[in-house]
Amino acid sequence: MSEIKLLSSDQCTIVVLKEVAERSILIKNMLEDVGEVTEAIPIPNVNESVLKKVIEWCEHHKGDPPAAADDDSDSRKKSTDIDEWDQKFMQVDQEMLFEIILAANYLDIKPLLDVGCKTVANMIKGKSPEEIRKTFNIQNDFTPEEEEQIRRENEWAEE
Amino acid sequence: MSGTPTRPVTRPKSTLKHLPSYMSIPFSTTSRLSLSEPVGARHETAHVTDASASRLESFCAHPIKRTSNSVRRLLQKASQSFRFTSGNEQLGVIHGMKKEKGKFTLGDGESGIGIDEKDNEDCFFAIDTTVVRKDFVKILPSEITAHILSFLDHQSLINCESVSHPWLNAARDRHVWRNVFQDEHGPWKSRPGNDWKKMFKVRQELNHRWQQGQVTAKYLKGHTDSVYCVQFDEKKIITGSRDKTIRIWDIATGECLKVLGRGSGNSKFGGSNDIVTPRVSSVDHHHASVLCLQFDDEILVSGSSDHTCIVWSLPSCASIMRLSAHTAGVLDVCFDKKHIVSCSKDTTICVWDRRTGKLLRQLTGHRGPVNAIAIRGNLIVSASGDALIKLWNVDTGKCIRDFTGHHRGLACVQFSEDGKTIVSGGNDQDIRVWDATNGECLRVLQGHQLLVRTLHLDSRNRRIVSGSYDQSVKVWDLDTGKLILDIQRFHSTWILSAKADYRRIISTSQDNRTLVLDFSTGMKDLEILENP
Repeated sequence: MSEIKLLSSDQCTIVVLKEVAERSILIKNMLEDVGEVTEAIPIPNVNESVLKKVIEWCEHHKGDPPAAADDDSDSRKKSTDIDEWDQKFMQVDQEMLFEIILAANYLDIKPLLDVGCKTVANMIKGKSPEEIRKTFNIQNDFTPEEEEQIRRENEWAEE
Repeated sequence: MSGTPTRPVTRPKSTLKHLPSYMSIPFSTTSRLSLSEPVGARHETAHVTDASASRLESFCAHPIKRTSNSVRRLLQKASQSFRFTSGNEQLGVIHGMKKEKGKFTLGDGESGIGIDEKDNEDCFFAIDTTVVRKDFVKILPSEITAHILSFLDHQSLINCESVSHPWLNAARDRHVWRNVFQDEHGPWKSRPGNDWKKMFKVRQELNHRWQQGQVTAKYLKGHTDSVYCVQFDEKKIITGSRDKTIRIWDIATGECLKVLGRGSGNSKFGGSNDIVTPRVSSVDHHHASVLCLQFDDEILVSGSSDHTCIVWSLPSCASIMRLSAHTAGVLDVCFDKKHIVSCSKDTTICVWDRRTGKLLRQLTGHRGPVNAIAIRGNLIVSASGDALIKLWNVDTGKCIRDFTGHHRGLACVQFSEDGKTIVSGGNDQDIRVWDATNGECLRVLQGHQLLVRTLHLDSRNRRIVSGSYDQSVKVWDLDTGKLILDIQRFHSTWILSAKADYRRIISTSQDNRTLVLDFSTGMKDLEILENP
């Protein structure tokens, strides 16, 4: 099985199975374009610790069947269920979580991007605005009048 | 290789051994982190991320927070390196990492005090738990933020609006609301300029009215005998009657636009009410009761006591062909892109080529009249007076399975949109919900007091609508089986057919009338929900 080398933004070389690296559509397309490469492929937007995390995910998911086209599928309820391994994998601090999301977006790894975004969504779900602010360390920059206006606009949604 | 790391310190893994001495003070005050198990501690760190805000505040206010944070950082890095080591051994893939180049730098965190924050700035990716709570709306590109918010339910999304100005802007993104709308209310035609949040609001109001039974009634009068069947879309209603005609009505005005067939010719017909209705003088029409019909954008197929089906072209209403093979009345009809399927009192089911009208095969097996039929994918489901439901393969004509459970003759059967669920009803007054894939009866809905004559399964709105000889129309929650609405008193006799969409129930009866129940009367902004 062939291996390729990836060069992180902080100049660390990581050797990885081609099959694993090709979970990244960006890398897959790059490899298809250039054919055989012996040089390390620079991944200028991702540093080593994040890249290793991403590779760990790709390694675990290397055998996954290609995702079905999710448009117009019958499964109406978009599930924020995350499988157990992915949940554990995503137990990182917010900094790392957002870096993984950015890396997945840059490297074009849709399922990883989805898992990351679902993880963040689950941190928001069911929380009050104040709880959300605390979760992500956000300052409330609304005036009481603005708050009241938003509340009135959204009155219809109250159960 | 270029890019020699600038991090000065390489921390050997043995650092872990020193951890407990760092830990004892800060973590005893913040609790929870287990010090004896550094690997497990990584998860605990994540726990802290999620911890209640009040705990965080007290944590931050603690005079030795720097120590504790830096120790947490240290702990985290160490445990991560640990994990990767074991990962290497297990997976055998990630190797060649140049650890000697100092990636496991702990930098100033080590000392635990007197951190110069500026030192950290060039180290953008440093895992620093002091900033573990970050406003991602400010960091992530807006399309990723939109992707995150798209996974929320509407209530959570609305809560996001009140968080801050940037969140308000992010949460009002129409793509986000579009996803949330379609998650909770099913696919909906997307038009440029759709205000999905407003649409959601209107849907919510509508759902509320369904729950409350807040409805207005309108009757369509014109048929001169029992109205056996009905189907409707956003523009029109089509009904079939014992008076041998099919009528097409304007759904907005209730006006009868067309009459297909010559009518029964009895004395009531042609009364003052009827003179104004335009007729279509088609060469062909039914010579007996119109018992069933289905239409799409191109064709209307009707079935009759005259033993035949007629295929009509829409919107012209010209008859295209007549399907003859049954030897008794055609009791129900359905079609998809390729096939037309009809069932009859003669106990058989006919599968026809939709385009040519050629009889492809005739399915036999029922021992009584086949009263109802539905098609989905390559499956046909049929319900018979013999109390059996049968599932058939449309291509082979083979019967795949019988669904047993009803103990009297059956009158109606329907598929869910995904073909995985079947509902049935009949003379034993029960409605049964079945798993089409294994024949298991999932649920029995009880409430009707006489034969259940008609069922409509509205997958998109998760509702079952049933009509009975007991003169009531009932609405059930598809997922829970709960009775949502019991509509009595609108018909004075047997209900023969009922269909529903997101805002209406339309039912027909032996009393010659078609009833339009509209849950949206007087609602503002309803037009934004209408499909073009």
